[in-house]
Amino acid sequence: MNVVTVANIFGWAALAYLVGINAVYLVLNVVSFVVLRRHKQRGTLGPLSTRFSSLEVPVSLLIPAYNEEHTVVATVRSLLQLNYSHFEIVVINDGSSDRTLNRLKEAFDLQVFPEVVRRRLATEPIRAVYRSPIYPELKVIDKHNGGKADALNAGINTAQYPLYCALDADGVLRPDSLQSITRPFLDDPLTVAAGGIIRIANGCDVVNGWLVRTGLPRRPLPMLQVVEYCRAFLFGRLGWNPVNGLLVISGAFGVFHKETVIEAGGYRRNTIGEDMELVVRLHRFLGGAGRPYRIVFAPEPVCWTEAPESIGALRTQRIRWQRGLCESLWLNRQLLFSRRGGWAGWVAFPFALLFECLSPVVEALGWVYFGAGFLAGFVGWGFALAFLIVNIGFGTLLSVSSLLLDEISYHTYPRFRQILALLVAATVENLGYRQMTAYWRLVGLVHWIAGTKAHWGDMKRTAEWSSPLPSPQASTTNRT
Amino acid sequence: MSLQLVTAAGIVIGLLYLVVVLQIFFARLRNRIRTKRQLGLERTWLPILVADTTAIPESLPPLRQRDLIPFLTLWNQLQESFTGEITGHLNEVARRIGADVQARRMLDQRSLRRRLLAVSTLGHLGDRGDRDSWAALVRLTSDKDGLLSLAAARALTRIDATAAMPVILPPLSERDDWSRNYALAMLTDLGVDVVSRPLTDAALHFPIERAPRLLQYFNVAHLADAMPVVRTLIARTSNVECLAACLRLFADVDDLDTVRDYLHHPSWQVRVQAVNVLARLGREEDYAFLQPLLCDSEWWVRYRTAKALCSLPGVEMSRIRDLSQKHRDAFARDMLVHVLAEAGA
Repeated sequence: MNVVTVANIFGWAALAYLVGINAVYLVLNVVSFVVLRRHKQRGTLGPLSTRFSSLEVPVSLLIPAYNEEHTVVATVRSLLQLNYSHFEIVVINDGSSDRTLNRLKEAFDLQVFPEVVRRRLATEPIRAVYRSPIYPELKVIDKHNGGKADALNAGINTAQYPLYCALDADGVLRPDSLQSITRPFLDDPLTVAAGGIIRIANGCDVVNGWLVRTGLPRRPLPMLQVVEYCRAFLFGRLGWNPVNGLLVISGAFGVFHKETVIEAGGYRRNTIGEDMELVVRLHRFLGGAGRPYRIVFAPEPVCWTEAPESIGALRTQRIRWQRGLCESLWLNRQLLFSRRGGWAGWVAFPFALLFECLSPVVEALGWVYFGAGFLAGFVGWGFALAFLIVNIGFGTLLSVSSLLLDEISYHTYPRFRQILALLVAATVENLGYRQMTAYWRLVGLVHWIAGTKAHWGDMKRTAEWSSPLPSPQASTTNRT
Repeated sequence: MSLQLVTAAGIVIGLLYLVVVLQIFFARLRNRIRTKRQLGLERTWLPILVADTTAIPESLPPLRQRDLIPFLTLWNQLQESFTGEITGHLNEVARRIGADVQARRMLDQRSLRRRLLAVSTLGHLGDRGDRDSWAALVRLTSDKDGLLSLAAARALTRIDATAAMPVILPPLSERDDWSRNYALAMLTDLGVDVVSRPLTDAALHFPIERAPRLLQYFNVAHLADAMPVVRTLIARTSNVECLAACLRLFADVDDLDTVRDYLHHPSWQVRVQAVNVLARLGREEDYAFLQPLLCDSEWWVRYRTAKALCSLPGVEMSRIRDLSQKHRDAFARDMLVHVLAEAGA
C-alpha cells in the first residue's frame, strides 16, 4: 500500500467522520425542536406554578470568588434582590490575593461568625466564616486557595438548603432566573441537577447587576461567540434532554441536589473541568447504583456571562475547556458502555469521546490533508469541494438552525437588525473562527495527553456592559 | 469523487440554508401576527369575561376555531387569578360559546397543550353530571406524563372533591413524578375537612412502604384524625423514613415519652426528628435527655440539639452559655457557640 493510497483512505475516513458528526448534530437539532415545543406546551398552565411560588424549594447560592474585587459586590447585591422566596448566598473567597474579601466586608458590614462547618467534603482550611447583620441570608467563607472545585466543596459544606446553585462571580441573572432553573425540581422529584442556557452579556445593558436589555456585542469576537453559545446550548445540550443524556451543566449557573452531590463525592479538586466532571460522575454514580434520576437542561435563558474579547483570553478558555472535557471523560471512563449506563453511557459518552474530544484532531488533519493534497494534486476538485461543503456548509447550516431555535422559542434578540447581524455572524463564524477554535481545542487535547500543568489563565473582565456600582447606602435603602 | 454529486450536495445544503433563514423571518412574522391576534382577542373577550355577572350580552361574539386555544389559555389564566362569583360568570360565558364541548373533544387529541387546556377547563367548569368527562379524567390520572396526570387529578378535585379523593390517593402514594409541592397545594385548596379522613385512612390501610409519602401531606389533616394513625404507624414500623415522617407530626405533649424513646435510635434521621419535636414541645426536664446528644456523631443532631436546648422553657441563655464554656466535648462546645451566635445571645 503506497502513501497516496493511505492518504486517500484517511481522506475518505475524515470525510465520513465529518458527515457523521454533522448528521448527529442535525438529529440533535431536530430533537431540540421537539423538546422546545413540548417544553412550551408544558408551560400552558403557567399560572399553576406561579400560584405555588410559596412552595419553592430553598436554595443555597454558592459563588466561588478568586480575585473578583471588581465584580463580586455588584453580583451579591443583585442576588440579594432575587425574586425567590427562600435562599441564602454563600460567597467563598478562595484565597484571593486582591481586595475581594475587604470589598465584601465593607459593602455588607461582615462580622466573623463562630460557625461549625460540617466537613462532609474535604477542602483546604477555612480561615473564617463571616455573616452580615444587615443581610442574614448572606454568608462569606474565607479559605485558603484550593481552586474552584475546592471552593465549591467548601460552599456545599456550609450550605444549609437541600438544593445549591453554583454560579460564577461575574454572572448576570434575571430576577426570575432561580425560579426557572429550580422548576424541574418541582416538576419532577427525580431531578438531581439542572442547567440552563448561558448567554453572552457583552452588548447587553446591565443595571445594578440585573440584565435590563439584551443586545449584541459590537466587537466581532464576542459576536461570533453569541452564535457559538446558541448552537452549543440550544441543541448541543437540549437535544440530550429526552434521553437523560446531558453530560455538561455549565459551572456558570447550575442547580444541584446537595445530598446527591455529597454522596457522589462532591467536586473533584484536581480537575480543571470540575463542572462537567461532576455531571458525568453523577451519571456514573446514580446509574451504577440503579437509582432513578434526571439530569435536566432547562431551556430558559437564565444567566449572562462576559465572553472573552481578546484572542489570548479566548485561546486560554478553549484550551481549558478541551482539557476539562478530556479529563471528565477519562476520569469517568467506567461509564462508557457500562451495564447500567443508560443513554448517558451508551450514546452521550461515546458521542462526546468520538465527536467532541477527537474532532479537533480529525478537523485539523483534514484541513492539512485536503489543503496540501489539493495543492500537491492528489486530492481532486470533487473531493476538496466535498470537504468544504461538509465542514463549512453543514457548519453554517447548523449555526443558522440554532438561531431558528432561539427565534421560535425565546426570541432573545427582538430587533430586525439584530437577526441580520446574527445571520452574518453565523456564516462568518464558519470561515476561520471555528477552525481557529478547533486548533485551540487540539492544543488542549495535546496538553492533556502531555500532562502539561493546567491553569485558568487570567481573563481581563471589562464589564463595559454593566452600569456603575450603586453605592452601599443606596442599595441598603432599596431593601424592604 | 464525482464533481456533479458534490455540487448537487452543495446546492442542497445551500437550499436548506435558505429555507432555515426564511423560516427565521417567517417565525418572526408569525410571532408578530400571533401577538396582534392575541391583543385583538383580549380586546374582544376581556370586557366580557371580567364584566359584572349580569352583563353577559345576549349574543356573544363568535369564537373562531383559530382563536380557541388562545381563548382557553386566557380563560384558564383568569380562572387561576380570580376566586368567588366571577369564576361562575367565566363558566357561564364558556358554556354559552361551547368551550365545554370543545374541551371534551380536546381530551383525546394528541397535543399535550390541548389536553392540558382541556383538563384544566373541565376542572374549572366543574360539571358533576358530565360522567364521560369524569371517566376520561380518571383515566388521565394514570397517564405516563406526570404533569398531565396531576392536572387531571386537580381537575377531578375541582369537579367533586369528595369523589375525587379515592381516585387521587393511590397515585399520590405511588407516583414518583408527582411533584410534592403541587400535590400539597392541591390538597390545601381542597381544605382539611375534605382531605382529612380519606388521607389518614389511606395512610393506615395502604402498604406501609407507601405511608411516608402520604404522611408528608398530614399537615392538611385534622389532628384528631392524624394522630391516632401516626401513633399506630410508629408502633407498627421500623422503616426509618416512616418513623421520621411520623415523628415530624407529633404535636401533643402526651406523646413526649414516645418521642424520647427515639432520641437514641440508630438512624440519625430519626434522632434529629425526635430532637425537633422536643424543641417544639419539650419541657425543662428534657434538658437532661437532650444534653448527651450534643456529642452526637451527626452534625445535624448536634445542631438541632443545641437549638432545642436554647428553646426549652425554663432554660435560660446564661445556662446554655455556661454549658458552652464548660462542656467537656469540643464538638458540643463549638456547636453551642454557633447556635448562641445565631440567636444573638
